[in-house]
Amino acid sequence: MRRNQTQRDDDRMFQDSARQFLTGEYEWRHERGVVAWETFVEQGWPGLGLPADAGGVGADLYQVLQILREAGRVMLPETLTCDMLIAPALAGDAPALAELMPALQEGRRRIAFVAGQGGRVAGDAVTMQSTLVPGGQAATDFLVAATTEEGNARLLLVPAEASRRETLTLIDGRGAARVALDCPLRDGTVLAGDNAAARQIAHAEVLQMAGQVSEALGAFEAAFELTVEHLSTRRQFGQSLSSFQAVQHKMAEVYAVLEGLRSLHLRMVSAFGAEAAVRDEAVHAARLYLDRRALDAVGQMIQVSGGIALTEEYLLGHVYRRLQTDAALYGGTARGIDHMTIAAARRAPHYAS
Amino acid sequence: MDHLFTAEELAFRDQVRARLDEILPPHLRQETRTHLHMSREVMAEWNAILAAEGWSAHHWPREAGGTGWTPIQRFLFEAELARAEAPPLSVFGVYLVGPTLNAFGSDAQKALYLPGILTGEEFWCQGYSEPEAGSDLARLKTTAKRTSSGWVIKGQKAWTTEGQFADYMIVLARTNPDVKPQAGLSLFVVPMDAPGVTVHPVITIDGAHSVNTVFLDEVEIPEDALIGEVDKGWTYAKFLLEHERTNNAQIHKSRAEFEKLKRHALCDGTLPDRHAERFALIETEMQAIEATVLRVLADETDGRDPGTKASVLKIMGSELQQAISELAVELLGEEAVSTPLQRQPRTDQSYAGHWAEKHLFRRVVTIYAGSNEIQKTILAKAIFS
Repeated sequence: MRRNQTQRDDDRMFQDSARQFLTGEYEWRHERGVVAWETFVEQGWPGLGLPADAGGVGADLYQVLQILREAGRVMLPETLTCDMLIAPALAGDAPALAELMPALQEGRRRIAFVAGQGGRVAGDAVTMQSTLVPGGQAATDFLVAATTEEGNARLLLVPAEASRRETLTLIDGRGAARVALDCPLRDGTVLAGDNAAARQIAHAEVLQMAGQVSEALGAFEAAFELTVEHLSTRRQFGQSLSSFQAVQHKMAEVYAVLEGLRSLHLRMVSAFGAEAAVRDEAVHAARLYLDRRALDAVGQMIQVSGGIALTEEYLLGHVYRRLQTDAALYGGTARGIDHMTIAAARRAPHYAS
Repeated sequence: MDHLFTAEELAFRDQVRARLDEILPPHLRQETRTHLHMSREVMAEWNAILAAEGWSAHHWPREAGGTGWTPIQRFLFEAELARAEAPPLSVFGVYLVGPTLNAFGSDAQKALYLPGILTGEEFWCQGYSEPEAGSDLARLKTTAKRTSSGWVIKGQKAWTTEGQFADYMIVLARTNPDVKPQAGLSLFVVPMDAPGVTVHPVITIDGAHSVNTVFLDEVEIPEDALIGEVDKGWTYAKFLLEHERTNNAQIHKSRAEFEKLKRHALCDGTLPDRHAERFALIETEMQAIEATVLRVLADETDGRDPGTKASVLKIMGSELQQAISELAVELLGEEAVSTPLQRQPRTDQSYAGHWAEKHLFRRVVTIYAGSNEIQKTILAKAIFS
């Protein structure tokens, strides 16, 4: 349990080494382009969440998320969460997935998780028409959440060549795909069924959002630091923008939101040690706060920064695009609202007599 | 959010919960449910019960009558008080004067005043603000001048909550007019029954009498009414703000009243569609504040400086309080506006009527304890330093 962001030395080690690696060549700049996957393989990122006895370095969830936060700081466009976090987390219960881990660690395989999007197992056939799958354009394999005709869950591993894949670029520059499946079940592997599958799919879904929130927090932090710097140096009416109280108060409000997201991020990490309902609520809370409060806060920073923030060469607009894209993914903001409404209703009768 | 606590901390919480169930009389719980401003009698009764447990000033040093609890234990205790719907204690004795005397008072002052605060037999009010010195507190005009036998105080204090029944006032007064405003202030104890003290009621937006204007007309007080050193009053007043970092968020109160509002709104286990999104967003915001409070407490436990998170909490916590009351009054609709406001404590038990009062008076939370604009200026100073 961590109640502070820099409580442990090994946490800091993971974060510092990631920041060091990402400083310089991989820092955000306009038209930076895609970083070769090899680069991340050399850093040991794919499979990072694997326990030591499964060939990993034993980084825990918080430590992997801290690296994703650093990746968010420099706005890496690569989708890292599935290879770093989801696939390693699920491999422990799925031998067929575990077999892929060496290839994943060597960069020969890349996995994307496809969930909540109408995957269907009927007889001997799998059908699916997915919504957006970030990272889906580069995956060699898909982890597919599906249900049977009876409504039972199935977690499948399907090679990308068994799918039809429409690749596209999201408004924030990240690659994604829409994945269509219409193939015999034998083209893939059933990793888990029924309750075990439902449990693992739910786990994968919240890991995906936890990774997303971590990257977005990093991007928000970078945007905040950049804006403070800009407001301190840009002069109008003979004084720095930061000397105007209207600007100061807006930035104070933005800072409060940043601290709020940091707090919910810590709470989310801690909740992964609790029962599934508590975990899911904490993840949705952080994600909803991101969609509503953090996105709005970045919009406010564009406002106080002025025209420069609307230019392609300036980071801030890219962070806004990123967070706006995030808000649309994995069921969108509406899903978070629904989840938090139900969670809020569930808590009330148990609070006190 | 049990996952945020250790097993020992949760066991402590359960003990507190069980004990509060035993010691909190139903009529006091009812007072909390229906009254915005507590009477002296209610607060004194509850204070005495807590004092018998050794819990009335739980955050004081143990040698002064506190509990020696960790910051997390104190957080859990306060959460349980709110959950049990215990009446609030008068904040001025336990939270303001007690810690100030503990830190800066003489042994004689501690012996004279602390026991009455601990038991709840003596009540205090705060004489800081003035008509011309609100947010800009250092510009206050009340003076304290030396006489042969002590001090004579002259001036006027504003927004004096509970002044109508307090026994003492802690007064911030100017002792040196020749230095910069903050440097010439001192802190005094003034008995409310001293000749020259007059209390005038101020009726507030909720229609009730909880605050006062207090006139100090040549009030003579002895030499030993001075707390600490002369001209150090500003430092002492600021000290307290730095030691009450999380209280301003009022998160336990918000959690308790939000859960109650939800229970009121629930229909077949679901919240009304038209307000669902607001419930979801308030729930999310509340979790952000709870987790931020815990981060500050963890900082305090580990001896780290929590920096400006106190100001963040004041802003977030007060805005959340208003968001809850706005939702409550909207949900309750006509019911909330059809019980007339009353100057005297209400005798009816209407949930909706109670919310109307609370909602109106709640405009104060973004103004007092350092207005949110002041907090934003403090934050900006740190952000751009």
